[in-house]
Amino acid sequence: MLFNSPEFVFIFLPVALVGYYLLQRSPASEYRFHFLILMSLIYYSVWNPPYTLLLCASLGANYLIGRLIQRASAGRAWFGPSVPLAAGLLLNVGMLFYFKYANFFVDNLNAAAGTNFNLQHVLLPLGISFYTFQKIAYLVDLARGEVRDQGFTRFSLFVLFFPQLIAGPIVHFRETSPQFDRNSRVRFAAANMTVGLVIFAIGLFKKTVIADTAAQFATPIFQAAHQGDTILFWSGWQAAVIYTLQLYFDFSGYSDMTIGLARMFGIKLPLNFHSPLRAQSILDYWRRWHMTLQRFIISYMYQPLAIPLARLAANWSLGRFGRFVVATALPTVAIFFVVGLWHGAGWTFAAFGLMHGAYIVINEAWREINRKRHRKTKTAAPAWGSFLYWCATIAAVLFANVMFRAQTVGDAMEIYAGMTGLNGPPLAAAAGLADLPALLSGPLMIILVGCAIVFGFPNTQQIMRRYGPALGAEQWVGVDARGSAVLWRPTLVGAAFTGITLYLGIMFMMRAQSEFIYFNF
Amino acid sequence: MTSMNIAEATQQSGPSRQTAWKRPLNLSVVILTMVGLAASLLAGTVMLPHDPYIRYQTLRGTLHERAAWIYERIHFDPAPIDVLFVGPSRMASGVDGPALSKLLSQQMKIDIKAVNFAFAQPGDDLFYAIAKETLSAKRVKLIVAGVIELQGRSGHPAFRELADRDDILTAPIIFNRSFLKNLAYLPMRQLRLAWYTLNPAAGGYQSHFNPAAAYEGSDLDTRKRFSWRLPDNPVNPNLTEAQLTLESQTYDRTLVHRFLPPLLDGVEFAVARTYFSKLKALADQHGAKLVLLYLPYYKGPEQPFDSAQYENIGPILTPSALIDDWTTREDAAHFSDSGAARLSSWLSIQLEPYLRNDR
Repeated sequence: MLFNSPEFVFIFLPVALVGYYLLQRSPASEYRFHFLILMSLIYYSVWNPPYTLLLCASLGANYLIGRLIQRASAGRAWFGPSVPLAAGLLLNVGMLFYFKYANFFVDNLNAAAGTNFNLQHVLLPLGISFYTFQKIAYLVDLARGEVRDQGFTRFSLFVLFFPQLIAGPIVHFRETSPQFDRNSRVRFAAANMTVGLVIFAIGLFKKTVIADTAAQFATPIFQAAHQGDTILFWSGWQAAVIYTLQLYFDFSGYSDMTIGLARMFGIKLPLNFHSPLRAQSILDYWRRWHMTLQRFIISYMYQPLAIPLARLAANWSLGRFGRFVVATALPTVAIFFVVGLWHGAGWTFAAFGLMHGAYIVINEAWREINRKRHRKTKTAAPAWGSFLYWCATIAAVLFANVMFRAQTVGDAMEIYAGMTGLNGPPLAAAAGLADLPALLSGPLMIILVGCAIVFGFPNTQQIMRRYGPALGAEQWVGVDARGSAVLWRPTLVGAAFTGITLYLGIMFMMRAQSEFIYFNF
Repeated sequence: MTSMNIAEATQQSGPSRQTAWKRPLNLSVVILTMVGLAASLLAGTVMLPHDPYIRYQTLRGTLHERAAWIYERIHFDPAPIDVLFVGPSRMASGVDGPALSKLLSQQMKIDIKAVNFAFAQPGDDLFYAIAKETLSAKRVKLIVAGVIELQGRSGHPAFRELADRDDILTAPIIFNRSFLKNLAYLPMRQLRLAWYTLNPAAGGYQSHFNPAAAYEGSDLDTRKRFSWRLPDNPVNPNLTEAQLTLESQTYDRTLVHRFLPPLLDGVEFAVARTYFSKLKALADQHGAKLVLLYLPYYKGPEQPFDSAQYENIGPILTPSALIDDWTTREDAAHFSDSGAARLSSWLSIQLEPYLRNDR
């Protein structure tokens, strides 16, 4: 069930909210979280009921492994915590590998080795990449002693809570668990409903009005490339720019909707998206794009790999360049290769990951060089430098997003050929631009509107900054702030703004319902 | 993590002497205003007027392309419509309108015009909507509604595009899987149609009927002009009896008579029952006769699952001799050219008494 579907907006959500708040006001208040678990299971099972059993089995197994880890950590078992932790990691990664990569692996093995292994097509369970990462984080945090088992209900809600079940944000147990305390009173219900509804309305607008409109102009070009058509200069750039806007508003809209939905139930989720297209470096871009994934990567993948490699480089007494390669470049590229494949079992995703890995290595090297130069010359970077950095970042992101969207690496290459003028110089391709009215009512309009919102307006957490919209938002609301006068308040103007936003979101919702791009991962 | 206190935040928001639209409101009022405004705007959008001719043109380029011709035939063509066929693709494939008109005219020695307005895909709500549109402009003597072995549980996918606003708003709610989607789609449809009514060229539509431009005539054989096939289901030119039997057995296996107990048939088949009743009422209101044409799949059941219900609506005609004859078929559900010729010929004999009584 999509957040941008009438079944969700008009049936599921009202039923869930009414049930939750009725229970909260009844003598059976402590069961409101059980009700949320039930609703989350219903939400998931609408997609594919048998796979709900898989989700439940994985949930139960992880909970038991978590208890074993805690027992072992307390010295109440004959084995150490690393034994159940390893079993848990194996279980989760194994499940992810089987459901997500088994077909990809077998297909490539057959192609490379000429073998003829036959594996039935395995259906990818919805949200498996997200809930698997979340459970891995829980087990590792337990083993590190950073969290403690707090019962099956809280663990179930931590994993199943429907606003974040399918596509994140990837939350930590310590972030949401205290909020699921059954003895806690639900305070500020009207306030949470109000703030949640505003954030949800903004997210719905971003998804249905902007992202889905952008898709209408980007998709045909990618399809044309796939059918073997020649992509010319302007079409190539149109595909890259509009798809980047589509992806941006799709994920930004999803993140807002999930935060808004959780807030309607009085739960704050962590921030997941902070105007990444305003970033002036790739490092900064990844700090703002899918923030909870980046946090997971650093804590549970990058550090466990980079720290031993740094020690190794030190032990080998490598020079500056050698240290950089072993301790920074190698783990970065390796991790981004995995992150690319995490997005999907395909070579385009692997290439996307490698591209970003390479970008980050270059960014790190540049930062290192610049740091030394500034130390020597004691001069700050010139003002125009920021603009150049931003241009380079945007160009890098656009090129990588083409690979991300393309069905095959060959399709992406065709679009790159168009973008770089290899399929004909820009002037030769400019004939299609002559019809300015048509352009203004089509692709150019969505680019102008999209860019105006991305670069000229405050983002959702900045608009809602007065009301603590998300966990960690206070650290970010001042970053790259735009239009500081735009602040939502519970006034007639604020209510009218939300009412109109909600109206447009619902109107466009039925134009064409499309899945959130991140639902596929 | 602390809970947000919007009330505290609101109190910090400035001096007490503020204009009304800037004054902080009670949060319940804010929620009601937000939801109420969105709902009012949606309701207002639903009320936007439009030109129904544009509405029928919006399906050009789709499987339901015939809609535009149907509207032109009803509203702009002075030729009468004496016999109206509405139903699913089995009827679309089996009835040759011009041939039937010719046969009936010869038999009755008066000019009789039969049109086949059947659509691909089942859905009785759409067939009612098409009949309603036809009766709004033509004096139809006989309506022939298509029936298949099992009543539909949901509406037709094109209903939300072609039905008028009131029909969408008053559709049965219970057990109608299409209702919510159709209702949610309505505001956007109304806005788009209102826009194209003002700017038809923007959507490539015609605001005025131009017979010289594209009209395909009064006696169009819709079987040949419009497809009832989905693109992934092409015609098999080498069809054999064995293949048809296999296909028919698949239909047998997938035929689920009921999901709910018999007592709840009215709920389970709410869509079909509602629209057949409405069709009957519509026919009565306009003095037209209503006959049901049962077209099961190859070797399918001899009568519809819910025949008792249908008999309350009107007499059921069943071309029994053709049902089990594999040479009349293009696939298990649809008629071939020769099958359509035989069915049309059979119909000319069956329908004549109803048309004679009309006089």
